[in-house]
Amino acid sequence: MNCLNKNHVIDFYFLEKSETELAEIRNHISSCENCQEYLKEVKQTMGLLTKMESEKPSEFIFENILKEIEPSVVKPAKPYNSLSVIPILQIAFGQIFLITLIYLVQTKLTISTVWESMSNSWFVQAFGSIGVAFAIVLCIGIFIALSISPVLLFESNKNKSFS
Amino acid sequence: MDNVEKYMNKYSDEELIALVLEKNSKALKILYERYHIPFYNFVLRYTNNREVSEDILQETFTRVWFASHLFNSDKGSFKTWLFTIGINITRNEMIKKRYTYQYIDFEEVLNEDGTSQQLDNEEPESILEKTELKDTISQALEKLNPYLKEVILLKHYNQMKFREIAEITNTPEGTLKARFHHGIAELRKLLQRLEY
Repeated sequence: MNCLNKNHVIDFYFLEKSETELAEIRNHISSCENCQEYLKEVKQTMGLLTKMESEKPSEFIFENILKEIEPSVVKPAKPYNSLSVIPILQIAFGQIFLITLIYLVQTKLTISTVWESMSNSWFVQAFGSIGVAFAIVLCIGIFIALSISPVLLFESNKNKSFS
Repeated sequence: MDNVEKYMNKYSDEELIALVLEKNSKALKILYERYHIPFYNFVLRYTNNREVSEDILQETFTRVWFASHLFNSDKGSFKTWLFTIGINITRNEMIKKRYTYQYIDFEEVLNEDGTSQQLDNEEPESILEKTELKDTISQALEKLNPYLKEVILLKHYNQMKFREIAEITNTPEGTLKARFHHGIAELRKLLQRLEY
């Protein structure tokens, strides 16, 4: 009987062939002393390596890796920073808005009466009614933007990867 | 392991390396946890030097971090890529220096949980036999040609297919199988010479 190429015996040992091919190789090996002998040698030698137990490296290796990569690690931005300028502005705008509201309620003034009284004032005359109206709308816009900015910031951070 | 790490532990290697690309250190830690033991043992048997093996382990994962943009999942798995980096570093180290044989103390061999092997329950003769056997195998591996050793160790410690080893070492499968036959034959000869 012609002996198989040793590669086939190795493929058989490591199961690196299809089921059909493995069955063919198995049939051959069962009737070939040379191939049986070679398979035994491979099994014995690889079996000896299992006597070498798996070992663990020092537990500080990953800490050392972290030290090396630290400057490039991306840290997640904080969703809220009490010292940042945004909350300070927000509080300031909020207070202005509240004082204006209380004043309007106490003096029983409506927006139209306020506007009428303002129209005679020096700054409306200086900047024009469109300019003043634009400034008021801008202030309200900034106030709304500042009010919701921490929420937007938090939402965007939630989707970021954890570092 | 915190909750984020527990959650990320379910991610595939490819998902984790994508996060490493975004400079996420927790993703690197999980990849390290998955592969550091088989990789370290492969390098340890290759170099037979603990200190050098730990340095190589550290350098390999540091390179994974800085070169994560070079990983392409179409070309192969993360494990294959990791070992490609590791083998190149190991080969370079071996060329730079010829490491002398360093006896790996059997007493220092630890289990996964950090406790020592069951030496207390064993007879002194049995411990001595095991130590001698380990020592003999270490010596035989030490003397084996690095190219032959590489294939045998990757097969043994990482259960890699010849196709994967071919990718890692950039060597045709046929050549690797020939090296494997040669390696097994050499190892048997060396073990016989060492009176095993």
